[in-house]
Amino acid sequence: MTRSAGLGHNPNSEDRIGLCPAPAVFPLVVCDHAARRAGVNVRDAAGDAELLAHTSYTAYKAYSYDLMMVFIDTVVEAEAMGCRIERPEDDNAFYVGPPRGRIKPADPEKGGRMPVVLRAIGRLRDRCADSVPILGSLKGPFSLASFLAGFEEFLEWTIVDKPRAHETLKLALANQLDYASAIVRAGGVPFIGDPVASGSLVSPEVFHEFCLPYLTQLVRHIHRHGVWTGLHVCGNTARIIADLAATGADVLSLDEVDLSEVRRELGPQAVLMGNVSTELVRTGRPGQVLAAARACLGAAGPRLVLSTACDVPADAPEENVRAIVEAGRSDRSDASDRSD
Amino acid sequence: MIGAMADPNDILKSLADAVVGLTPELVVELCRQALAEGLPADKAMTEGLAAGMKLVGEKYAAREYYVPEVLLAARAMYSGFDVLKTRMAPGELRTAKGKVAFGVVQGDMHDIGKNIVRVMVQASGFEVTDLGRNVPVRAFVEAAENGVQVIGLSSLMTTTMVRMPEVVKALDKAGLRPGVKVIVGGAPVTKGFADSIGADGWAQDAHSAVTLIEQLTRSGS
Repeated sequence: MTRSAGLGHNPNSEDRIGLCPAPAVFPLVVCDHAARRAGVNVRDAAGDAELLAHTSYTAYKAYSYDLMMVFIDTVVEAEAMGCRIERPEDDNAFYVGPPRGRIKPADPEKGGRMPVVLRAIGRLRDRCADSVPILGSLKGPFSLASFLAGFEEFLEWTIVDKPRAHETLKLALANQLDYASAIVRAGGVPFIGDPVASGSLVSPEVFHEFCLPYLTQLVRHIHRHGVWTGLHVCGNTARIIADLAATGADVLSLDEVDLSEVRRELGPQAVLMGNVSTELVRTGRPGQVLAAARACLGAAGPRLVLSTACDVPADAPEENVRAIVEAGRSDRSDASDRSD
Repeated sequence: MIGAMADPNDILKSLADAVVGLTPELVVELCRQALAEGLPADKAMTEGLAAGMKLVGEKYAAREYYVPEVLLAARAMYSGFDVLKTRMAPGELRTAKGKVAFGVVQGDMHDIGKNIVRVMVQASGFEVTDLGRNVPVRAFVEAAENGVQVIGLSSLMTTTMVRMPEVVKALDKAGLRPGVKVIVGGAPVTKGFADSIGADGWAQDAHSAVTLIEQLTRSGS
């Protein structure tokens, strides 16, 4: 049985997908920052659903933002599909190399730490009000395929061996379709992160040919469950904004771009998410973070999930995360004052 | 090839174009042709292959080329280099411009950025030692002791950036600075961070890293 996914789930509507709440505020606090601030070892939290749910919930209560995300590290699905990874003491796991054997999709209920993510989503769904979407992070097919094939080889294939690139992408997509369904079953909103599809790494042409079609299929699949979805792409995405919108994702989470330009390009209805510099959140003062957050609100307008450009660094000071939440809250009370 | 000798400048130009065109087979063929025409191997290297990589670097900086193109251009350049080096004296393989070592600091396995910088710096005529990824502090110190003039530290994670000052301190402690210059780079690494840890330089991308290393080795010698 599919559990209610809060605002993410709208079973009564045929083709209207449940909506991403906006305006809203959610600095991308994920496993490492939540664990660190709770005094829990990052590696322990990343391998234990109870601990992960506990640290995530504690951060949610302390910061009081509007959404939550279960995101351990970028290699969860890659690990489940047999990639070699390393899990350092008290830090995020990282990619080491492609699988040694034949690549095949994994069972989301059994493979690697996918079950940890799914169980943590379930725990949080039980503890939070239905109105709070619990985002479950999954990788875009392009990023996962680059792990499966070997990063440099895969990027070269996009130019010199396109059939091989597509073959690997199909395997990655197959895995992600099942994983997305499992996230929905657990009560989560699948939220796609595609760090390698970055506008800073690959050309707009490569994005169009190798990222867009597979992201579109993944988004459609999630919509068939009656759930909305989001897409986060790292780096400078200015030249692929139209393609990002064409994926059909209900919210676009953006890293290094000018939100006012994106707003002009996509129009007033598009829901955007972002994009206070994570470096500023890590090293700046709360006043600077507050000003940067207000600049995002000014640039993007009300249909914005005020957030960070990428995930909040593990060692970011709590005051800086609070500054973003404060900027979002005061903006909304200003807006309701005006409408009174 | 019977008849008029090809203009050496035409061959060099074609060689550079073949690197930019990402065609290793053509690069190999042109390198063989260059040697057959009596062009010195080191000239074909610097004015053909390296000139091509310089153009690739410019295209990368201008966002005409991205990471896949740079990787393929490097592959083309190395294929040509394999042909040329059979005719180069061991002394010629040591480039005049200087010695550089690159590595990704310990705990970090993201080496794509470092690899791109390595390729560009190598192509511009430096002898480069690649220390790989997840490199312990000791390995950087050993490289410095073995006579490199510049050490490049890369990090793609805020959690591993903290290793960079450890390398700087270890080099200070070993008395190897200011003889050895330390430069840092990577997505989360800013100019401010570079200054704060006492690094000698910071570069935003591979193209500016080449310029930076050229400046540091010139003023340092």
